[in-house]
Amino acid sequence: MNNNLKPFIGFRDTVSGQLAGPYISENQLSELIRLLPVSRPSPVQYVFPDLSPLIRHIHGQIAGAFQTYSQGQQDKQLAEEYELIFTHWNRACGMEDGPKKERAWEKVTDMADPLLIHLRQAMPKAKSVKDWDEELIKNIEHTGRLYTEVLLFIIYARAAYERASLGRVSPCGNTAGRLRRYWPRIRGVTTSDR
Amino acid sequence: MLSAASETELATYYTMLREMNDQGPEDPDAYLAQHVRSIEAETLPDNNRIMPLYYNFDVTTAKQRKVTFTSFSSLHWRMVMTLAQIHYRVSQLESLLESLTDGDTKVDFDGTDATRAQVEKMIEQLADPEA
Repeated sequence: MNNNLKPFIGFRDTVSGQLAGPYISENQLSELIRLLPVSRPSPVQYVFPDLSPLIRHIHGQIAGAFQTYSQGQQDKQLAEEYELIFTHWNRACGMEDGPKKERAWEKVTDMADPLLIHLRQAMPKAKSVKDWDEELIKNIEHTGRLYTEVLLFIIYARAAYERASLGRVSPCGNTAGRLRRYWPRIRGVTTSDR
Repeated sequence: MLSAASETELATYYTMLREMNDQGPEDPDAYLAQHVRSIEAETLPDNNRIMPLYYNFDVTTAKQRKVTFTSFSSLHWRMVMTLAQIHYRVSQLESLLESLTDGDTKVDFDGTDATRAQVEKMIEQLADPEA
C-alpha cells in the first residue's frame, strides 16, 4: 500500500450493497451499527447487537479529543455534561436487572435530551469554502461524533428497558418516531455545509 | 460533484457525494457526460471555408465545448470526508431503527448479551487489522 498519503474514502453503496472506495476506519465502526443475522435455524432472523463495546470505543476517541483540544467555556460545559451521561450509562450497565436499573436507564435518556440540544448549538455554523480550516474540520468531527454517541446512548438504553417500543410504531409518539426527529437536524448540518 | 467526476483519482468521492445529495446518476462518467452535453457547443472558425455558413448549411463542422471545473484542495476533501463520516453514521443509526420498525423482521433481544464478545472482537480487528 503506497497510498498512505492520500485521503481515504470508503462507504457502502446503498444500491449495490458493495463497499465502494478504500475504507475509512470511522465508517468501519459505523458498519457495526446493524442487526446481527442469526446463522443457525431459529424463529428470529436477527439479534440486536450489544453496542456497548462500540460505545466504549467511541468514548475513548471522544475523551482523547476533549483532552487534546478543549479550552473554551462551551467545550468545558459539554465535556462535563458528556462525562456525566457516560458515567450514568456506565453505572446502569453494571446494575442488576430490576426497577432500580430501569430508573437508571430512564435517567440516561432524560440526560440525553438537553445534551443533544447543546450539541446542536455547538455544531459549527456552515461556512463558505474559503473559511474552512483544520480546526473547523476537527470541531465538526468531534461534535458529530459526540452527537451520534449520545444517540447511541439513547438507543442502547431503550433497547435495555423498553425494547418493545424501540422499533414498534404505536399511535402516540413512539420511540422510533421520537428518535427520528433528531435525524433531519443533523442531516441538515451535513449537507448544507458541503 | 463535477470536480470529483472530472478527475480519475477522485471518482470514489463522486459516489459519496451522490449519496449525500441523494441525486445524480450512479456512475461518475455518466454524470460527466451529462454535464458535457449540457454545455453549449461553439463552432470552431474554419479558415479554409470559402462560402460563409449561412449560404450552405449542409456541411461538416468542427465544434468544441469547454469544460471548466474546480480542483479542490485536500483540505476541502478532508472536510467533505468528515461530513460524510457523520452522515454515514447517522444513516446507519437510521437504518437500524428502520429495520426494527419493519414488521417482517424478527429481532431477538435476549441474545444481545451474548453478542458482546463478537462485537468486541470486530472492533479489535478494526484497530489492528493484522491480528
